[in-house]
Amino acid sequence: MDIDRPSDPQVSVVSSDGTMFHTTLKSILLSGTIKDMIEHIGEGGVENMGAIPLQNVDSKTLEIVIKWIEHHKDNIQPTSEEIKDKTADFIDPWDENFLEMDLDKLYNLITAANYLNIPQLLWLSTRKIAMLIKNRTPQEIRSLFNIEDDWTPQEIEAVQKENQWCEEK
Amino acid sequence: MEEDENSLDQFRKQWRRELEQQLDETKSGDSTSQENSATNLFQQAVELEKSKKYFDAIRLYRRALQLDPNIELKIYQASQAHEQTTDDFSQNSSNTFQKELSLESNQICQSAYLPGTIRTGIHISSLPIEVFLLILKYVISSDLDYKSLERFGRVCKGFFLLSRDPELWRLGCQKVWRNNITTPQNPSAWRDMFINRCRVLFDGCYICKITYQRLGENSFQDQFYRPVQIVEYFRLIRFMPSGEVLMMTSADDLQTCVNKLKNLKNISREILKGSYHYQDNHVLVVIKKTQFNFAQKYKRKNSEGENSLTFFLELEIGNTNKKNFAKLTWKNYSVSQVRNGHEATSDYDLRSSTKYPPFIFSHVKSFHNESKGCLE
Repeated sequence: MDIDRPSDPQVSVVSSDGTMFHTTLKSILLSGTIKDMIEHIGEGGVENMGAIPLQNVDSKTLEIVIKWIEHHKDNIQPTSEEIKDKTADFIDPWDENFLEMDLDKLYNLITAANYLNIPQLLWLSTRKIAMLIKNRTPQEIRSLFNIEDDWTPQEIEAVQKENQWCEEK
Repeated sequence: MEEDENSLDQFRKQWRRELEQQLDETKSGDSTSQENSATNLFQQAVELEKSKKYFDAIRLYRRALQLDPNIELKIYQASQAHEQTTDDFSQNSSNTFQKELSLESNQICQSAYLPGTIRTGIHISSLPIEVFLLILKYVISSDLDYKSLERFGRVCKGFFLLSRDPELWRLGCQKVWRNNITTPQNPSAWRDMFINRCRVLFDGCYICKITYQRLGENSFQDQFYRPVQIVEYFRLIRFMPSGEVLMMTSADDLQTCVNKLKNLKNISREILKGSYHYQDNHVLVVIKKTQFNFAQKYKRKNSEGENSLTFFLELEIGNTNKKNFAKLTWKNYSVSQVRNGHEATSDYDLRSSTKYPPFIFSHVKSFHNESKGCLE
């Protein structure tokens, strides 16, 4: 499909709670899920296509996703294979700034990026969570993500013994 | 320790007895024998699914469902009832939790908020499992930071299960030993392999401190003054999971040396870069240093060829009393030099323990600060 044509038609998407958003074809094609869908319809069908319903994404999250895809619509998107080797120096300061959000929003964003299949956005957001987990103690992780400690003292002692191999003494 | 072992043993025996009794009971009826074979089929299917043979798994699931449409619920209830009798914590804990988790797969951990608290946002437990596993691959990253993974596993039971996902450990083993691995029968053995099989450690560097004394020059004014100089320098080696290795020798203080090894993008000139591989419990390091020859620059292209210096180190991996694989003992050291097309190799005598003391591993926290790519 020719996505480089000069005219970039309007496309509408509807969130799970019924809000409609307008964006452009070029932006929305960053979503692998929607790209596959549009490829099935065929090029001619795009203009006559109605709003695309996105059952799994709420309006707040969809707004964030659209902001991201519109910013990146002209960038060449790396494939999932290329993304695997990426390190922090690939992070665009705009993205860094974009990801400064509450954890709640971030979870929603991850779920949406996963569902819409936007590899680069999924990478940015999961990596952000991974960096919060890295080099933190279990207690720090619990308080950061609000997780209940459900171990009994015997259980945690046994697990600690099993994990002894990698801890400094 | 021994007492724990005993009670564990007793618990296991009891458990087995219970299971056998259950089997006998189900055998007694005719309709139950059908259920029994359905259970077997279902469990086989679960195993197949785990080993990613989805096609065969679906076939078996279908047969199980034909025999007994409610088989999934029945197995669920049976395992629930069984779990309630499980008070002790055993080595098989992971299996127990596995059932618990796979049943409520949308609830990986419990929110610490009190039930009454009004919350507008969502909790981390609402993320799907495949996303969690992806996050963990970034936590481990290509640095193989399994320490962070193990810590993540101690947060709660759900996270513990995620941290023991065989695939996460398999990928690590593959990265360390490449093709030189045999797939264990039990998927949980990947973790044992990663922990126990001989390898080098990545979250720090191996340091060898060399100290010797040298007599100084006589003083001009005082004949009896003979200073003794203590020469001290360090040799550092940092191994990377990618198969690369960095080595440097320096008389700077240790902190400065370690910092130089930290930055991989901008490797300073005194650091030598090479590769390594394993041979049983030995690690072989090969470092080739190409010397830039000014004279050569102006010569014709087809002159004698480049000058190079190649270091071969053979080190034996051993344990210290604190940590496994934290000690490297010199076994062989040779340097071969190519100059103007002639090659000369010299072996070093390693018997002098002052010049070749063993390398001792030292953990460097900052080496794993950054998530470097995805584990794959």
